[in-house]
Amino acid sequence: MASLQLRNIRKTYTPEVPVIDNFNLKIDDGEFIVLVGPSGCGKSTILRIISGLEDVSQGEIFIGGKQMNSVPPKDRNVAMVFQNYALYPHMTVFENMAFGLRLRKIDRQEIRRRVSETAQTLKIEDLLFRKPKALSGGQRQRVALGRAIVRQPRVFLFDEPLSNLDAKLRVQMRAEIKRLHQQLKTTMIYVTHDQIEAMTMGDRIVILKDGFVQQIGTPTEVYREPTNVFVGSFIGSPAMNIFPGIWHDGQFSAHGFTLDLSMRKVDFPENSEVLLGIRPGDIKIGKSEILAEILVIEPLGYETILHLQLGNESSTVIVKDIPDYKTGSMIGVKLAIDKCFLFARESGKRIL
Amino acid sequence: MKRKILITLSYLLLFSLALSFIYPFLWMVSATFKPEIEIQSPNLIPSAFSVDSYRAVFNKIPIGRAFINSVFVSVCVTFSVLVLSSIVGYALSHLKFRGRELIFSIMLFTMMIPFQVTLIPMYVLMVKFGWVNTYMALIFPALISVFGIYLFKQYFQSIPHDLIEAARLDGYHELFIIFRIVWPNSVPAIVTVGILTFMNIWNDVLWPIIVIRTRNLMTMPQMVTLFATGGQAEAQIGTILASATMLALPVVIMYLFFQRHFIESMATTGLKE
Ligand SMILES: Nc1ncnc2c1ncn2[C@@H]1O[C@H](COP(=O)(O)OP(=O)(O)O)[C@@H](O)[C@H]1O
Ligand SMILES: [Mg+2]
Repeated sequence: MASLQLRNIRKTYTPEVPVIDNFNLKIDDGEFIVLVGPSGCGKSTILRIISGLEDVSQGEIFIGGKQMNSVPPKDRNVAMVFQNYALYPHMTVFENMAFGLRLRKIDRQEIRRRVSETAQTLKIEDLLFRKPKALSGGQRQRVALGRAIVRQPRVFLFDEPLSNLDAKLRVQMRAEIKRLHQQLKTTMIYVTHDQIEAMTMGDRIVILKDGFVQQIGTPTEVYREPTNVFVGSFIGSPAMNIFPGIWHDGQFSAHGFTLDLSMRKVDFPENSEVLLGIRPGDIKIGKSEILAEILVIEPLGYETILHLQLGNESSTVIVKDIPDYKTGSMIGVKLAIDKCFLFARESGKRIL
Repeated sequence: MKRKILITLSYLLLFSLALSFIYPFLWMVSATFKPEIEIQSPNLIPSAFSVDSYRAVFNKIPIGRAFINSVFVSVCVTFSVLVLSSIVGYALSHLKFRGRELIFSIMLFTMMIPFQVTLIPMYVLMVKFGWVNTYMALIFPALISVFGIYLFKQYFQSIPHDLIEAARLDGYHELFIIFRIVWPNSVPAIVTVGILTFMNIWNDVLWPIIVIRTRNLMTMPQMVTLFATGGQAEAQIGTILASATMLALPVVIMYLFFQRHFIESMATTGLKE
């Protein structure tokens, strides 16, 4: 178990464009950190840098307080679970799990004990003498987890480990990995492009875009206090509604509606272009001057998602139960003033 | 009905084609067991069975010794080509280093140079090293092959890089990864390179003729060729064919043994995914 620190990391493949730039992250011992961001933003690259599979162009990596830049992967004592499992096809499940222990001067008895203990935790005892080819996706995933666990590494790295599983299994494995973390209390870094996984699993979330950190915080923090419009619209499901408009005299005016935000005391240059953000749950249906056309109704049972045409923008609203609205009809919407976010149009930075 | 006729016709065609390939070989084998007077006939079944031709070969030339020389040289070369070419193929497919593509294209370029061009310089080198008329001259120049490197590189590229990185994180050294992770998953490529290398070196006549003078060091094809063309066979076709049959036997056996992998690999390398 170990803390981990990445300081001013920069990584370039081609001289001009960095894939990761100015990346700073401090992870406490035993923390569960989720790196989340759209595909291609550099998540895997960061894991590979931590594991030593990839060198950095600049910056320093510390594991357990020791600088690791020139330490080869095998001596960093980190374990990685790959997206495609990367199980050795010619070895049985047992051999797959034992392979990483063979080199470490652990005697046979101890290897067997550790493997069977881990197999028990993961409920794969019955599969130990099968080859990966004879396993289902979910079982392979467990074996991949097992292979990492038996090593008793100081840090676990997960690279989108659930993305090849079907939705139901994904939810189940999500909980299992979380439980595993509570049990092992080892530092874990988990990469995903799925913000729901990030929100449900992470102690803290690191939101990445184009190789830059957008925000680091607890799930609650990044949900309640997004630093910019990217984080605002990336975190939360369904996504935050964004309306472009003009800031003037305490009023936000977009195409089709105006909102008086003077009570929130915003200090922002007159007539500048801004973005208004509001979450689907913070728009209420009812008597209002602002009218919207219902485009699509998605009843989920406990709640219903309405897709509305509001001015120029389409927006989503969540309402309780299954209301009996008609597609195509107009309804009044009320935007909760105290729940609105404002972002600068140019920089995307949050103003309010 | 029409379909059936078509299928029968195509089988007939295939069968006669296959026959035209195999017939000379079968005829040769059968001729070695015929009495000398009967050899000219195109029949495949000898009227009387005789091993006189083989006896004559063993009496006239040290073919046993040549067989052992050939086995020794071919096994050394094949083993070395498999090990060294797969190491280079691995480096070209799974390691990152500057100049990788350049090195690969230079290697490919050397494949296009006909061996006649390098024959004389190679011979001069052997003379300079003092290796003429030794096993070194037979083995050393063939220790690694560009063809092997190429085939291994292509095949190894289809092995997921994750697998190699997983083994690195498990603590293993690159050489160990090649033989414990990559090799077990590359059996068709190993068999193909193995068979082709073995056949190539086993059948080679020109190079041994150039560098070997002593009878005791001659390989089988060299000895058989000299025997067949040098007058020692006294124009007895039976003995010549018997020596040729013995020469072909190991390669045929080897092919039959590995053909499943061989065909699989020929079918997959080059047009994978
Ligand atoms: N070996 C490489 N050579 C060049 N570019 C690469 C290499 N690996 C990754 N990249 C680039 O780096 C960026 C980040 O990749 P990656 O870390 O795999 O993203 P993610 O895991 O977030 O989807 C991508 O734009 C990708 O094209
Ligand atoms: Mg990735």
